[in-house]
Amino acid sequence: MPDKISRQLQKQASLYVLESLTAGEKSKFEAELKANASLNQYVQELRETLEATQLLTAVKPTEEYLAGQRNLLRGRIEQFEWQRKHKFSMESVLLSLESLKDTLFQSHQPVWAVITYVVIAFFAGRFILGPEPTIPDNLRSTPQIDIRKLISSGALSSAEINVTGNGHPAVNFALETNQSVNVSGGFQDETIRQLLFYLLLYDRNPGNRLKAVKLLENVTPIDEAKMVLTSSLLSDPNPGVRLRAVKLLEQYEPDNLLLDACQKVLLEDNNEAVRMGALNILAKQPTEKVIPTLQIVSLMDENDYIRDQATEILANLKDKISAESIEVKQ
Amino acid sequence: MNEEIRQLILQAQDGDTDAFHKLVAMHDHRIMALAYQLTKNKQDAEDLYQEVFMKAYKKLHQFQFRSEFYTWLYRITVNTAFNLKRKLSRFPTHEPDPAENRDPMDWIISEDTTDDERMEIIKAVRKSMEILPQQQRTVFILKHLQSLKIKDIASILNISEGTVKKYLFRAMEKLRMSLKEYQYAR
Repeated sequence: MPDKISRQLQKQASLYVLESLTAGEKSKFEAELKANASLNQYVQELRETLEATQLLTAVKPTEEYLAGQRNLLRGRIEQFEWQRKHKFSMESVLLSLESLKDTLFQSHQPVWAVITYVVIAFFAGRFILGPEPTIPDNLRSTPQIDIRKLISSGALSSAEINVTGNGHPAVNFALETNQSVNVSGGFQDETIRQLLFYLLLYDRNPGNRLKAVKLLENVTPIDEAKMVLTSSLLSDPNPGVRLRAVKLLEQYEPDNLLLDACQKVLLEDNNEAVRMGALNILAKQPTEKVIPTLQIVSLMDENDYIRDQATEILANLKDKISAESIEVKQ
Repeated sequence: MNEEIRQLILQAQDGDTDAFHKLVAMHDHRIMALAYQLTKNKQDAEDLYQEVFMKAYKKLHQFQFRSEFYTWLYRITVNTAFNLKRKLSRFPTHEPDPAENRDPMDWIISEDTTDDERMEIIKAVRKSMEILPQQQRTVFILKHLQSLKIKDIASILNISEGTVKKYLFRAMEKLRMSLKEYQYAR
């Protein structure tokens, strides 16, 4: 039947049922419609088509459903703002560290967290800029070792770590330099600690990094170890190393640097156990600052348990904040 | 433009995020519906919704009141949907079972059809919509399901009003033919 209708009329019919003709076009078309049975049938078919498509795609999202989407959006925007502010403050630090970064040792690790630059630069600065470390007398070494030279030449990358001694732990490093070098000592020796830190951050062999982080369990918690472990948590490609690092970090008081790192891990690390470790640290002293991250994690983390934990921490934190605000008002 | 919306935009441009969230609450019913109509999939619609409002938040300072705020949001939605489709190529080629998507989206359902009949029609319409080229389909959705004016659709898609009318006609004609085949086949 529509074959009997001109293409121009068909086009007008489409616009007519979609109420898109001007007043003049409409009255002219309606006059044609009265006189043309085929056109009438065509218009009827178009109306039925519209009705059928309406049945399919007209959706009305409920208010409750949209409220959930808005909350999610709110969390994302808060996170975006936080990251933007954080980035600006870190950028100035990075600028001054840029030249230092170039002098750092070749690292096998993708340094994807800006925070890592700062930590590594601080730590490496001890070797590059600080006084030359010396080997304590109680450490056996052959021959006299210049730790700074060894580190800058990358010779430590082929270190072998062994733990020896009965009830008196010691660490041996077989270093590949011009001649074989062994360094051994107890966990509280400064040189041993520095070597372990260095291996954890820079050794290409994941087995060595894992050994180093395990051995750090024996080192008394100090700020320097905290920074190195934080850096490893943020940048090590091996989940086993990151997991050990985050577990060790649980014994430290969370400061701003650690809290920032844990938030980044929670949002970006693909290993559930590592994220859980980071959440445990955040849970120790949650502050208002971590609310946006917890909101996102409570809604979006793939792991049910992590989502539940984040929700619980969030609820406790909100209770605490409202209790504090009531106290202030009183 | 509505004065309340204008004020909220100005406040949001000054960094007031609460004002932005008010703007979201005033417009997101239609954006979510459009997102669903464009993607045909709840998960993708939710992703698109989030993406659209994040983009709007980041680019709000560029909004210069030359168009209505909602047409600006529509433009972001349509462009983001096109980009997502290009990038991910994961919009389903087979439509999901409508029953899976009924909650929490409420379907508008004609009460004089039985469930079986409705499902059959829905499947047929979905097939028909699927064969439409992207531009025709988008124009049809914006006109018929979002009740936008031809002028606004032209502005959103950055095409002429004549082109919008041409796409509408072609979309209507294809859908009519396709649904007719379905009726004959019953």
